[in-house]
Amino acid sequence: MNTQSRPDLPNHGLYILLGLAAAVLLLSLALPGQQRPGSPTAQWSAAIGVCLLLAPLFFSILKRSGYSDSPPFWFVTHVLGGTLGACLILLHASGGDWLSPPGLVLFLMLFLLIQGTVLRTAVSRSFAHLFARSSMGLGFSAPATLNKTALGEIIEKKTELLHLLDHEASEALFSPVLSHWLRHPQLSFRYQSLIDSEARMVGARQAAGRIRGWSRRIHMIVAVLFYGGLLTHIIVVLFFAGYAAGDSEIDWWYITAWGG
Amino acid sequence: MTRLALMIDLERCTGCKSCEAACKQTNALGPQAYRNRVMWFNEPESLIDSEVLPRLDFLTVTCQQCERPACLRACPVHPKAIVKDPVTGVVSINENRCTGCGECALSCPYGAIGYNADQHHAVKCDLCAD
Repeated sequence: MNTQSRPDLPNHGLYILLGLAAAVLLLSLALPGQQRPGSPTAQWSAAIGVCLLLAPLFFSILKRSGYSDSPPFWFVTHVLGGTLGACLILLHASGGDWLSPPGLVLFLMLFLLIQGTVLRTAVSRSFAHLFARSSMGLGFSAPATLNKTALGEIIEKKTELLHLLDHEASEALFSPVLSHWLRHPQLSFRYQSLIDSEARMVGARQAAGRIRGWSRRIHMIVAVLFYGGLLTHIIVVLFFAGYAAGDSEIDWWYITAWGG
Repeated sequence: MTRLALMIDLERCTGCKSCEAACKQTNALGPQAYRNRVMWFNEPESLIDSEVLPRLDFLTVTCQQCERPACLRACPVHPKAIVKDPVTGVVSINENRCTGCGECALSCPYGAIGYNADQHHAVKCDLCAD
């Protein structure tokens, strides 16, 4: 299979991007008081930064929805958009207070940048070491402890549920995708619970270790928290400018000043 | 075309790793990327009897082309980056759709999914069915 045209960012490219973000962070910390987050320059920086930060969200949706011909292209876009967006957000926040609710969103953003880079470089490298891991661990000495009856019952439940969720699909090859979650959230949740039970029983993920097994899920959970925090921040400064400003002057563009 | 399979006679395998080397050469795999791997197993020291020669076994680890491939179900991409050919039964990775998340490698109970850490995508045995 030809992978020459497959878009990818090499590890040194990822380190350069992280270094760029670190340089912008140091710059923003070294220039306190030069501007306020609400100044026109900082607001434009925030607006463009947020647009770029939507790239990871698009990547996550497009790769699950079937609307992307090249998910690796969107992966690269999510890294570039996320890093450059974060740089602009750091410039926006350079005059702000890190020990505040918006500061927490900044910490989440930095965590995503650093953890994402480590995940793609070091943790993904360790995926290669998973090859032949079962035989390395067990050799010929330990018998399999898998409860096949219980596993069969789970597969039976999945098959029954799948008739309701997607009657054309085969249990052997099926896992719920975005369209299933949108059309049948409850059934998809029940099906996903059965998938998780089966995975726990087989134990492959647990055997891979916590860092390998959970890094990607932690990245996604933190990303959800980050987007929630970002949306809340935008709503507060646009619609509750009075509350956001407190006793200070409102020096940014806003729609209403509720909560003052 | 009929169903494909790879038969390995473990009674005749001497653990020479020639199949591993040939696979790496054919598929241009780097040092840590595998599609098959020959494992050597020694008798546990506690069981070694000084009167009898210790046992040495070899096992070639490669994809089982499962009927219910856990790797395929774990792939979060839609349409899946891993597909199972309904005729040949071969489970193969479309590397141009693989984002390199590693979910397939984490889910395979046999540890039969390799990973190309330089190009960030999964690799696996496809029985050279192309």
